[in-house]
Amino acid sequence: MEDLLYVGKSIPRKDGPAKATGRAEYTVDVSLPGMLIGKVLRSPYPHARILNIDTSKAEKLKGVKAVVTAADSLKIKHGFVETPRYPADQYPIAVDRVRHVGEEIAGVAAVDEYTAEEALSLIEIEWEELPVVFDVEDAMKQDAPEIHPSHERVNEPYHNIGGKTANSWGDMEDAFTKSYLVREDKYYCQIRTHAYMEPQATVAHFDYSGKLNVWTSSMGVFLKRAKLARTLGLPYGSVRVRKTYVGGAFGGKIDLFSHEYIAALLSMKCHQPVKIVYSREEVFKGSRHAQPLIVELKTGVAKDGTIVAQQIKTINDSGAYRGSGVVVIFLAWGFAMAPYRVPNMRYEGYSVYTNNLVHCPQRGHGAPKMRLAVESQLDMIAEELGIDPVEIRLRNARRPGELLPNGDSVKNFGLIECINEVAKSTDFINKYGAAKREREKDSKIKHGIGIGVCAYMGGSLIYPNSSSVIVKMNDDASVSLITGAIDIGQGAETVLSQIVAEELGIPVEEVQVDAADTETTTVDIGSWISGLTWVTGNAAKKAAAHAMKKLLDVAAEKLKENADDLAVRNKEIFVKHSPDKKITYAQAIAASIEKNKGDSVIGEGHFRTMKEEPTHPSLATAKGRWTENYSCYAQVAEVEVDTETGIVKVLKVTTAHDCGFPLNPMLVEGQIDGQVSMGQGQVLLEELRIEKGCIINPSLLEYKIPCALDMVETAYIDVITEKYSKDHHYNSKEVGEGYVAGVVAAVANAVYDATGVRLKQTPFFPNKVMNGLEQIQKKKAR
Amino acid sequence: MNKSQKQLISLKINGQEYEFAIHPNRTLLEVLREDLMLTGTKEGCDDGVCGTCTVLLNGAPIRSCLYLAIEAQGKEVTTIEGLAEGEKLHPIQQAFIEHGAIQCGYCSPGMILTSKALLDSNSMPTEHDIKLAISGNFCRCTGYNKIVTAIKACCQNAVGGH
Amino acid sequence: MRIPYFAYLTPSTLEEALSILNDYNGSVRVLAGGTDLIPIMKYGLDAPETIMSLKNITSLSGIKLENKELHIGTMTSLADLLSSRIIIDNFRALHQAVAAAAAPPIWNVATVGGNICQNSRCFYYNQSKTWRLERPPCLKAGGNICHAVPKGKKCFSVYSGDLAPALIALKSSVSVERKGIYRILTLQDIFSGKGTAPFTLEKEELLTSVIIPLPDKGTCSSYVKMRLRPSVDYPLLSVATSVSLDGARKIKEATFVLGAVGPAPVVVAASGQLLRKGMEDTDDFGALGEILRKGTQMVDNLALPGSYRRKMLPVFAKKAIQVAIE
Repeated sequence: MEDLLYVGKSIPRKDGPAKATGRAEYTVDVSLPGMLIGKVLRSPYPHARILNIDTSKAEKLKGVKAVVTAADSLKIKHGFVETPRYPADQYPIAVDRVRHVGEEIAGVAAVDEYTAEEALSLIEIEWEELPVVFDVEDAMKQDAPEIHPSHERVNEPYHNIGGKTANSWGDMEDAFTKSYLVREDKYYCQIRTHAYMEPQATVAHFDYSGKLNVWTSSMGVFLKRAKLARTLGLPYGSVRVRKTYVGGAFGGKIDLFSHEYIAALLSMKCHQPVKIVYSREEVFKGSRHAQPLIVELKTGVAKDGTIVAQQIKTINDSGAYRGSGVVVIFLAWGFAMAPYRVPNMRYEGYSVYTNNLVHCPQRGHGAPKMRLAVESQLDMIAEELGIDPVEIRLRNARRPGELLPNGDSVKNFGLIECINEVAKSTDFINKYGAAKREREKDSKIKHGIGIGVCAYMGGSLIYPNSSSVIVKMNDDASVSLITGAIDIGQGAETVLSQIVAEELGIPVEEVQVDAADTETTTVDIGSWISGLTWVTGNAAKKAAAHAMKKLLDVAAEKLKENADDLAVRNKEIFVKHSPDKKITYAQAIAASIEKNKGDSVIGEGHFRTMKEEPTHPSLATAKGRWTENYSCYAQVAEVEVDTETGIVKVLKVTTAHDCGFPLNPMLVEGQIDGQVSMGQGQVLLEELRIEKGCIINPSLLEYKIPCALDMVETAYIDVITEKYSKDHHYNSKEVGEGYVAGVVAAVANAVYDATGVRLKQTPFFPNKVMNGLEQIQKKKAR
Repeated sequence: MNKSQKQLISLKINGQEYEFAIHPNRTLLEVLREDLMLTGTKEGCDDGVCGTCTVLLNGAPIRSCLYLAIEAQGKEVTTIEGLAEGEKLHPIQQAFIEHGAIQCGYCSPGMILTSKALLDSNSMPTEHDIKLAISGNFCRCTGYNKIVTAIKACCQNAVGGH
Repeated sequence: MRIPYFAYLTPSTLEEALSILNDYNGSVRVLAGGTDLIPIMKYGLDAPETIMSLKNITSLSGIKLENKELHIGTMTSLADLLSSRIIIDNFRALHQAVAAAAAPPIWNVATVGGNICQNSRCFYYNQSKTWRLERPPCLKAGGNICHAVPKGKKCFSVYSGDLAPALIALKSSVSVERKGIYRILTLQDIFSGKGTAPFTLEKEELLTSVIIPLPDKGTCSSYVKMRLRPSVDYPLLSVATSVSLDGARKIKEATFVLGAVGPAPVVVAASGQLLRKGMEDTDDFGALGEILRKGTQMVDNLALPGSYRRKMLPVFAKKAIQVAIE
């Protein structure tokens, strides 16, 4: 890479001091004069009709300033997906029917929390309970209670289908017939959840000018503005979503949440600010959790282990409304077809309604489930064929420049190198063999090693589909970077500052970031689908380059030279062949104001991916170009299993990854570490226990995320396939989501390597491992 | 004394004395955040599990969501706001920033205070000592790796006599 | 979660505290470290009108070895127990139990007495008021149904304290006082075995000290705990043991005290012969497994199924012996 000063360096994050001193203001910290405490009334029933709501007693309670129900709303639906095929399907406040325990029915705003709680208890509701179904496969049966009518475009006689994705190529029957070996397996993944440390929180203030001011813990302020504006019937310009720091999100703060809507509605009724902060129990009960997925995988391979055909059926429990269910069944297809070559494929995914909570994206959004299935099965196939797990993956991995079935190119795809590097670094083949031999011995503690591979897309089209950035130079040549980007912990503001600093040749400390305010900052694609660094980053690059060009042009005029003959250093522009001829940035700015009709040097940059595509691919057919940017990883997990108790420990995870190039290596490492921990949690510790639609472990005590003593040793290997250049946009690839999947798969394979126990349902609680060990003992005894 | 009566209490927080008239049922966390607007101490679960509410009581980390404010009388409370000296960051805060131990930052105040208490009582902790000390502070972002690195860096600095 | 309003009393002496308990006819709740009581109040499991804090009664704190007995005031914090050299050197099971309890920040405020007297727990009981109002009250909450065991006629809530099993294994007694009355009980006698009301203590009574005899020479002890995470979590199962060895360091006999196996710790004595055979037996700790399981009631109301926890009993009992002898 060219000699870069800031990009590619581990610059400490800009918001570090604010966060380390407690000065960073999160939504939960926002306090406004006259602010009321809001609370939400939730359905105790998983499926019921609301026959009558009487709020009169609540309204009369001293200290209550507003009570709202659907009667106060415009009854406009919203949805995670809102397309002609999948229109919005959920009221933000229940109108006449609830479909899951916890669904929002009413809201109160009162002077304090005690009064608000009491007011909730005074709301009287007449219910008519309706039949329920919680199991997703039962919900598809023809005798299942109807939660919503099945999608009209789905021909199969299934009930409760919210959506379907189907895509195929090649000749499946022929391919399976010609395969040397065919395996069929079915995988279940539990419902996991984000467990972000900052609960869902919103402050809404509808002021007397008709402006709705909102502070909310989110992943993208522009999407929130759009959904709030539409459902509240307000012009977009009358809704201002303002910046707050975000205490973690991981996919769980994208959708419009009912409490955001209710806080706004309450404030619109009483004109006072209303703050709703979820208790931790409400975070479990009232917000959304990860999409569960059943994966049925049938794979045919040639004698050398190369995949000939794959037939995949996924079943998603989207919960009581569509949520992001129709997206996850589409993405699951993508996570199956991207890393390995699949010459013949038939994919069908069903998103099914149940009376469970609505589900939403969580880091990986289907990738951990799909990769668990594919990677476990591939290992089983490899074992049957007598091929080692590394070799079989090398034979199947896509190579740089390969075209995917949807027309995307994987471009500079470093998967082969990732697999080779991680295998070498972990001495995989030797350890893999050693574990096999140890398995036969009597030792109680066994060790195993496993590998998992994933590829992930980044920066696809999703509302608002692009990012814009403004770089505003101040008189003293410090810079205001204006961006709608929201930093949810991934370091967005730091990375954007690095890019602007690099382009302008000024220190990162002299870039001030103004971010994430729908009124005062520019539109932004949002902190999901791992697009921000690439999309907003390139917009920032362009904006800074634009400002730089203006400076150079005005300097050229002042110095009477060609702009091409100028160079910059230390905020000065000098003539290359005569360095004493120079002007400072500050002088150039002043000159620009003088000569360029008052232009104080403002640069603007815009970036959109998939410039030739009008929109994102079809969720239903998976046809259409998706992204220009595929990252890939190979991860190896080393585990220890206590065969007396079934307790599994993840000792180390090594990640070889192609993220293009890291704009900030320290931030990238942090992302990998966090995802290793999340993967560890998903495969060993975390499970939302649900009985009859009700979560019975709605606490961080009983929903078990890893603690510091569970910490996994991590190692990273960078496979660099792209570079940063001043001349054109750069292609960095996502680092925020894909690593969870590889870890889950690698640990599953490592547990098998250590014990011979092949588990197909996460989490691998100790009792399940013990059951597996007992089955093996029984088989041996026979 | 009946349950509707407030009581006058005095608390010492970050070296400063404050007087309040509060109901005894207020937790230290509530009083810090709502009465003193010291919002650096966070509420994550209100159940004594996550550790984002950690403050130091006579130098030892406690869960302020499980501690009645009225019980803190006569003791020294340190919150995250009490660590830096003006704009000069405490070495632990500096180390957390330099080593990438902060991402979303919500756990950071509690984590930093717990780290401070550890290093005040043991200037050369082993890696296990560190992980044990912070095992009651949950982080969902970092996987704890860089937090442990940051705390270790402080130990070395201590040896170097900064 | 807001704590309901209460009146707050702070007696300065034990006599004052006992008078208050007497005068209020036991309707006062005692506040020690608060790490059990405050979550209970936040969850609406109890809403006492009056709370009496023991924080000013300094005579209730302290660790003293006198006349071959260790006296621990019940307001002594777990952190103080953990750093006590006397306990590390002589009462290993207790040290290990404290180190395994909860998480370090809890040790700084939690007390011996509070840890011993903590209420029993269950998935279906330790929930907020809102959660519990969505279903009929369970036996422990004053209703007539058990949510953990359909058609269950008794409460299967689990006593989850870490210290009590270790203290019982160490043959501890406790002083229990009420106005004008002082009595000593063996620690296991304060447990009723009933999930709905786990303690035999009267509401006017206060646990004031724990008394542990110095173990005989040739006795060793330990405490092992099973939990999904190595910190924070309550036990899914725990085993405390006190083992007496002969001159050749062979096991003469052992006492196991099982924790988190039901509404009270369960004491199981085992002969040396049975133990020695069990330690060699690669499957299931031999006949001892059956003896251990008697008296336990492990159902599916904790994070892992009862059937698994039953299976793990002999495994952890074996671990306890191994750790003790080390």
